[in-house]
Amino acid sequence: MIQKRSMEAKMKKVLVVVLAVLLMMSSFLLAGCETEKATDTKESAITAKPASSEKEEMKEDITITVMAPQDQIKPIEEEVIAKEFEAETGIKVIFNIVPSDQYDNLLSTKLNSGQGVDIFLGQSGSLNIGPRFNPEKNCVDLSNEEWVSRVEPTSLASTMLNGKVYGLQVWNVSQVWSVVYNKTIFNDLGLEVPTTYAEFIAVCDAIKAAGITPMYECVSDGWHHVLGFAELGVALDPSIYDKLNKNEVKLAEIPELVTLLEQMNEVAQNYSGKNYLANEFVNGTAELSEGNYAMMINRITMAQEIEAAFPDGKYTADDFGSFVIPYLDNQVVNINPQGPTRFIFATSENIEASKKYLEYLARPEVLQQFIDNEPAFTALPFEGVTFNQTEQQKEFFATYTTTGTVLQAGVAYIDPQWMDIGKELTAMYTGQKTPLEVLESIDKSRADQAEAIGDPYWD
Amino acid sequence: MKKKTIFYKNKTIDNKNYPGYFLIGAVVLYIMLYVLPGISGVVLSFTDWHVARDISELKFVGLDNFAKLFSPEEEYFKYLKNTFIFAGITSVFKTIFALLIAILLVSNIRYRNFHRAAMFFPSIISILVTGLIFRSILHPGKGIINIFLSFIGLESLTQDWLNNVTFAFPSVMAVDIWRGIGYIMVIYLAGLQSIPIEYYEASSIDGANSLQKFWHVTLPLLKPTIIVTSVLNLIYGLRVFDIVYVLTKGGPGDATDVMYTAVFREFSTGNFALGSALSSVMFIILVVFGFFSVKLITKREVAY
Repeated sequence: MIQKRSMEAKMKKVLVVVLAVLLMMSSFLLAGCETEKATDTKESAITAKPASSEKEEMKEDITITVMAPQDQIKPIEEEVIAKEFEAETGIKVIFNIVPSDQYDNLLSTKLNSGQGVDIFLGQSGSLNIGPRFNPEKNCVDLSNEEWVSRVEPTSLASTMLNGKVYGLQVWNVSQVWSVVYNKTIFNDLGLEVPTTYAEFIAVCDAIKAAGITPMYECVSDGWHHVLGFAELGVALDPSIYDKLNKNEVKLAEIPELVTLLEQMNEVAQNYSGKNYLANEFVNGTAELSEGNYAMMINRITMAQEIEAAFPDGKYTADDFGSFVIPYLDNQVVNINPQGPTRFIFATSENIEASKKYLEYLARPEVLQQFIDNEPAFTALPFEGVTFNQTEQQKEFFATYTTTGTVLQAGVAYIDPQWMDIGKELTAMYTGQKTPLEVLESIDKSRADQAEAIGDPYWD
Repeated sequence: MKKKTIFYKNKTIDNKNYPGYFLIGAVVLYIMLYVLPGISGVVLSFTDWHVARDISELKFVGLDNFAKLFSPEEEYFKYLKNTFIFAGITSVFKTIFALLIAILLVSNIRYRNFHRAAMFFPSIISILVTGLIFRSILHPGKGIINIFLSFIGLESLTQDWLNNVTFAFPSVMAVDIWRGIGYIMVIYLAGLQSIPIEYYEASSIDGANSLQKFWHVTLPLLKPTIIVTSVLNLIYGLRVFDIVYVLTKGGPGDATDVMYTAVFREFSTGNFALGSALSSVMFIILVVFGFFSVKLITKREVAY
């Protein structure tokens, strides 16, 4: 009897040990499968094109997910173009729209953890995409796509790293961030377009005296107030970009930048109303259309956006014009060949379908559809499309003829820390940091990034 | 048959019914899912792991990351201080308010269950939703707090609650207190209900008034509950991330940054090594804190 019981106990023991071992093995196997799958997809991304496309055609319904910050997917794409694409190919496109202030963090987390969606939107820039997205590891090489030959060269360059194309830029990069102003209010108050900072302040004073808030600023999104800083790179000596990239000079050592931040602070404190820290970018069109504010740093095409959003507003497209941001007495047009760009995640399971979608977006007739229906896209950087320049744009480019490249497109390690610069500027606006401390802090982050990727100039 | 003790030396555990190897499955899972990732996090904090570098090129850099964390140029001390302030203040206020409300709601008032549910309600709303609601309530122009203050003629008291350096952190703490009271209140309700009514009757006969009853009966008998909730509150407070992130993201500037918003920022900018080092520091703080609080709780349990 005792023997039998001890036998049973032994059997049980063996069973439990076997079960435990099985459990462990299965979990390791699962882990192994995971890695195998990941490598598989990556390989198929690079080599096994026909095989995977065959496989995908066999699948009945493929859904691809596009992740983007708010404002970067236009209604025409979401409501019309994606639907037409689905009708043609059977591939469904879902848009995962994320609040702008959380997007960068979320995207980096997804990139770093390797668990992405299919397509993501990110800012292009040859200096930027390397440290920000590590496309050689995280994105699909698109160099052999048909549309590559039709992309305008500067735009194409901003989506390339080490000779390979990684992104498709469907964005109006001939856009310029300018001061959009209400011409009617200016005329009523007898004001002229300012050409220096002093004139700009005088204009602000006059508008404020008339009971209208001069500038609409929106800090809560975290990115808009950085424009005043980064776009004004054009006001610096052009040779300074090279020195910054070679680490021969630091931002904090450039006196103009200290002045620039002081001027931005003055405008924020005195001329941007009480709630500029809590304001949101998306409400800018409404506020300008109502005439609550007279000016805002925005794209030249904002006039058309106001008209489209509030056709019955107090002020419409014809009431608005644009002038270059006059901090540091600037009169140079700030050109930025970078812009929101679509990249395909290397770990996506639908690489072929995603490529098809990009191919579809890059068709001349689809690009034309964007231009004809989206007020912000008066031009797109492709051959074979007809531009649709607005009166405001024609007028603007007739007035200002000198152009320069913005700081984030010419200097490394600025764009990847855009949101952090926003945080630093907020610290300045709220009196926690001086302009010099803000610049020192940006310098420090630049050094950290450069050292982390082994930039020889920072050794 | 010879008894074997595999895992336990303690004689009070009857290993006749439950042999030690029953633990293997749980221990293996626990080690794989909790201990190993934890240790690997600590190990990685001694490397130069970064998003732009492949994991195969990882180098050990000794204490460099920790030296950076504690260097005077960095702001991490401020975040640590903020974390402690947050944990301390929210714990104290949650305890006081939750206790007061629990005492009110343990008595036989009308619609008692409705009141209890209403008080518990904030705890079951998703933090994201709480954040969105309070971002609009606290908005300087459109928020109901400022509108109300202006309406009753107290316009001078209106603030940009979440963007003013002085008010941002108190506002975040206030929202967290509002959210956390209900949960703590429920624990106090259970504690209060377990106090035998005879003690109150006896003290009434002795002529004690309400305050004396509270001081000499309720509070001493509620002490174990207060200790447990305080530990829960403090540990939650030290680990805070979500409510700060949804309300201010650490801003304005870094006025409301706490340790875990800093960790999140380091990870999302690709500084994995520094993020791991920060997490390791917090891990040690929490382990030390957790160890002493468990001691404290078990000591009390023995006493009662």
